[in-house]
Amino acid sequence: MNSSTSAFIELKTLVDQEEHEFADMQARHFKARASMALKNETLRASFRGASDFLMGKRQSVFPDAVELEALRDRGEAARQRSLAKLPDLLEQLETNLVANGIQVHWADTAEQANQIIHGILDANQADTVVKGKSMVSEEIELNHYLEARGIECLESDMGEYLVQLAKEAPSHIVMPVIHKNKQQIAQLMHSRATTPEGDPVPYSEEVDDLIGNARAILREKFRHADAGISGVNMAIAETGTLLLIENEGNGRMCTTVPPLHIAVTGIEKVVQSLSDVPELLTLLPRSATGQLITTYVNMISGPRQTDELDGPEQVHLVLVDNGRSKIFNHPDLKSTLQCIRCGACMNHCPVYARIGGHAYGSTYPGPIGQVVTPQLGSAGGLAVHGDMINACSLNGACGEACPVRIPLPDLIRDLRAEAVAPLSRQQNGQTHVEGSGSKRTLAESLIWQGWSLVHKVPWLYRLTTRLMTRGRKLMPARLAPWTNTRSMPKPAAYSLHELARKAGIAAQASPVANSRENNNEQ
Amino acid sequence: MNSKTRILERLRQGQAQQATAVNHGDLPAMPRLPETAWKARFIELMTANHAQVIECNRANWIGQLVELLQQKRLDQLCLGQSPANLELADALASRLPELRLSRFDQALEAYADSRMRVRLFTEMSAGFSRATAALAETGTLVVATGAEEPRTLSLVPPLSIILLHQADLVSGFAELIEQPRWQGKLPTNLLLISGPSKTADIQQTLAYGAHGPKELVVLLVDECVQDECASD
Repeated sequence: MNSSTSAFIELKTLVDQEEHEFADMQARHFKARASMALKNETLRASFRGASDFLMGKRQSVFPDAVELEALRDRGEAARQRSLAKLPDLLEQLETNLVANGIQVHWADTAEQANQIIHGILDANQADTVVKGKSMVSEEIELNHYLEARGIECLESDMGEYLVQLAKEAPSHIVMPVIHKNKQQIAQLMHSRATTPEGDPVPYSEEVDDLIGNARAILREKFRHADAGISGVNMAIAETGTLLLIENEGNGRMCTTVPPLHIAVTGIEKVVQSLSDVPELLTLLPRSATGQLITTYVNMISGPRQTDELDGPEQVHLVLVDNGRSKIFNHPDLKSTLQCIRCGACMNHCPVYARIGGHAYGSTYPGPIGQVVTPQLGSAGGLAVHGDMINACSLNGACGEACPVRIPLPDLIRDLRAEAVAPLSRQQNGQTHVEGSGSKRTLAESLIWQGWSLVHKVPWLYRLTTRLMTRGRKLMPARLAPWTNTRSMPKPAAYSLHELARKAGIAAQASPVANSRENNNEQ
Repeated sequence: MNSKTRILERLRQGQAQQATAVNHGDLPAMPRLPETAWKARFIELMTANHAQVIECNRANWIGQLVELLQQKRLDQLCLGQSPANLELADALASRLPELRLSRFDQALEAYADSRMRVRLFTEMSAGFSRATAALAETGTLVVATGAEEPRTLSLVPPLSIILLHQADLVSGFAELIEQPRWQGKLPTNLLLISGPSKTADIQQTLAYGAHGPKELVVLLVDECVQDECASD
């Protein structure tokens, strides 16, 4: 064996090992995943670097704070305006798409969406598919579904392509491969990708080489593919238009070059008219990657016409519900549907920056992922994803970054309350999140009931604080599992009430507002 | 009951629950860039996004294009079937006899080895397109595709050359969509293009020529030749 072969095998082993580590991590519970991620220095450096970079880029395109707030007002209004008329807009969208020659399909569940897409491909004898970036297709696990039925589904966004090559999942909704550095990607390309001529891709850590090699491989695929599948950023009801934004050109390739284009989107992405687009088009790329606009904004309003020479002969849109209409029925959680999938919330989340996207174990990571995931029809609800909503320090950064003002910290708190909701609350006819109450434990609910009682009954409160302050020396040094990762708090020698009395400040009754926060922690 | 009915029924149920209609009052309009700044901003942003902008006029733009093709040592250029390209084709043929000038004149058939598919992916080194408008605030070309303007011509060849008349500049997208021509049906593929294709997916490092053109050249044509229009 010569030295280059052994070096190749060594790299291959390294890349295989990364794949196993990923699979191993995904098989564990949230807490184990998070703690694995925290111990991985390379991973942490990748996420720290990406978060700092993206926050800086965003800040550079919003120099004027007053203008930014005005823009966020408009963005929020545009989304709420569309959502208020959602069912009507969807019907209008269908009518106008059909008039434009685009076929529309409705999928209640993830399974149905996959069946519909497979059905279209099958009817056209399409067995090679190139895919543009689509988070909804990740959400419904389309690739697995199609591959199990003998259809090759190749991701063509550079980041998604690399993630697929590594047999992993995206760790960010906009930058799928930020968890890997250049060296790791160089190893991955060299050991797993083959050039159109069938040779291993030459080893290089130069980004231009890496991109050039992937470009050459994927161009062949675009030329040969039977079908292209893409997501949608906005669907415009009045004109029957699908709007997609991207930088790489792979989105245009997937929607233009193959004879068949299937777009897949969540039902919340519809807006009424072209005039709803400007503010969202201004906010989306700026919030996502700090760009004034993406390289391409691709507005598709029909398949190839008889006098046209290129473009797909068929265009389909699959509208996916997968839990969204249920979210639409929840008075508070409804604002989840305002999301335009920019990723600013995860870029600004101190927890995401430390544990990274894979720790969440879901298609959508970060704050919006914490809110969306338990509510999706296909993800298993709070019983499966109830732990990730605790991965939040309630610092509020996501809420401040959100371009459409989704009150993410409030929604995370709502879901925490939902996860431990008592049975009585589940029975009073309210709509609930799947797995509501599944995280409720007797011990925790007794502790909170006790806490609540102490704060409601003045004499009990005085007694408790007296015992705590006078008996502070008796507090145990450790109280596992709380103290496994925290130091034990030591009560003060005197309570604030006592100190105030001593300082001559008279007790004054003040009515406590029955605020949203008070309700939620019950 | 089918999926559509079920989904719409649930949405209407949710809609009925809405206590009050969303009312944001009158929000101030987004500020627009004044006309005097359009050209400079367009050039500045296009250039920052790695595109080359060549300022020319009605009389000399073909000459500028010839120069560009010579400079880049291009031996091939593809044009769409717009009648406006006939004059250009004649001029290029007489000035650059070695240039292999091709027309996008065949349909892109479904199978991978169809003639046009092979030409597009393996033979064409540059494509020439015409912008119908441009947005100053973001440095963006607007290309409306159709029978005379193929969708793939500004996408597949490694060099994309796009002609823009300076008079077609507008402030931004908000102003563009107010134009009467977009009120009815939209073109099958309306494209906004703001530079050559690029990616920063690998460790946030920018690389040009991701899947689309590696280079974008904008021929920005002023209708006025020298002082012709200055005095009216």
